[in-house]
Amino acid sequence: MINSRIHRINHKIDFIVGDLSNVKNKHADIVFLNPQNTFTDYTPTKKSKQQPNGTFSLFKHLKPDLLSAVSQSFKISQKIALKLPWFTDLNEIAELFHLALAEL
Amino acid sequence: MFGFLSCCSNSSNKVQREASVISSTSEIPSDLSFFEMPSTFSNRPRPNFADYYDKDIPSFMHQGTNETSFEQARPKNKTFILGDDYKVIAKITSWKISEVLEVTDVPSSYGKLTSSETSFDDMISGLSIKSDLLDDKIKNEYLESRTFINELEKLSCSSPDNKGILKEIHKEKLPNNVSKYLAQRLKCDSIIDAFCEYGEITIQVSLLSGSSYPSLVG
Repeated sequence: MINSRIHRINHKIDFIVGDLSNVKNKHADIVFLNPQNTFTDYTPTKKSKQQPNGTFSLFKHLKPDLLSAVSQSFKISQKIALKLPWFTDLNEIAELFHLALAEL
Repeated sequence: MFGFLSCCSNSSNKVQREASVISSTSEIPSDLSFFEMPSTFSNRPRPNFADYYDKDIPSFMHQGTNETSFEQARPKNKTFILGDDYKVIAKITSWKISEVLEVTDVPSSYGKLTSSETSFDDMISGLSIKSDLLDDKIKNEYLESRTFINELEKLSCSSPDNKGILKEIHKEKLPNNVSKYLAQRLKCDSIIDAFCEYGEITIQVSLLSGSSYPSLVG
C-alpha cells in the first residue's frame, strides 16, 4: 500500500488482506500467482545455468500450497499466470492444472 | 493459504543480504498520512513512465541470469520500493558482502552509488530525510530503525557463522526489469496478485494502464 502511494497509483489498486480461499465476488481477467520458493538446495552461478541439486517439486517446495491456490484462482478467473522457477518440470505443471481442475 | 512471496534470487554466489529498516512498533497506524513524503520529496519531478516502458527489456526471466546485462539495463529512475508491511519503513535490496561492500540495486536518488566506495553508513545517510521536515513520531521510528540496522550490521559482519542469520533474513523484491516485463505480458483490464508482497507486479501493471487493478494480499 505504501509503495502504491509513492507511485501515486493507490486509487487504482484495492488491497485485500486475507485468505485467498475466502475470496468471493471478485472477478478479474488474470490471477497472478507468485508463490515463494522454499527449494534451497540450489546455488546459481554466474557463468553456468546448472541444474539444481536435488529434485524440485511444485507440490513440495512452494508455499503456500499451489494446488489449492490454483484451484481457487479458477473460481476467480479463467486465466492464471504463474511465476515459477526455471527448473520446474513441465509435466508437473500439467499435473498441477489437471488436479486443480478436478477439484472444481 | 497466507502467502508471503516473491523471491527472485540473484545469480551471484557471493553472500548477499538485504536489510530492512524495521521499527520496533507493532501497531499498524490507521492514518496513512504518517507515510506522506515531505514536500521536497513529493515535488520532485516524476519519471516519464511512457518512455520508461519503451526501453528494451532484457530477456532474463529466471534465476541464474547474467548480472552484467541487468546492470546495463538498469533504469536510471529506479523505483523506490517500501515494504508493504507497516513495520518496514524503508528497504535496502541486494547487498553483497565480499571484501568491499557493493550496492547493486539501490535507487540513485539515495545518493552515493559507487560500489567500491559505498559503505553501510552511506546507505543509511542516503535514506535519511531532512529531519526538520519530520515530526517527533517519525524521528523516533527512524532512530529505532537505524539502531536495528546497526545491530544487523554487527551481526552480519562479526563472524562467518552469522551467515546463517543473513540467510534467514534474505528476501529480495522482484527486480524492476522483470516485473515490468511481466506487467507487459500480463497487460489486461484487471488483475489479482494473489501472493502480493511488495506489490511489484501490481504497481507495474497499474502504471502500464489506467484501469483498476485489485491486488489481493494473501
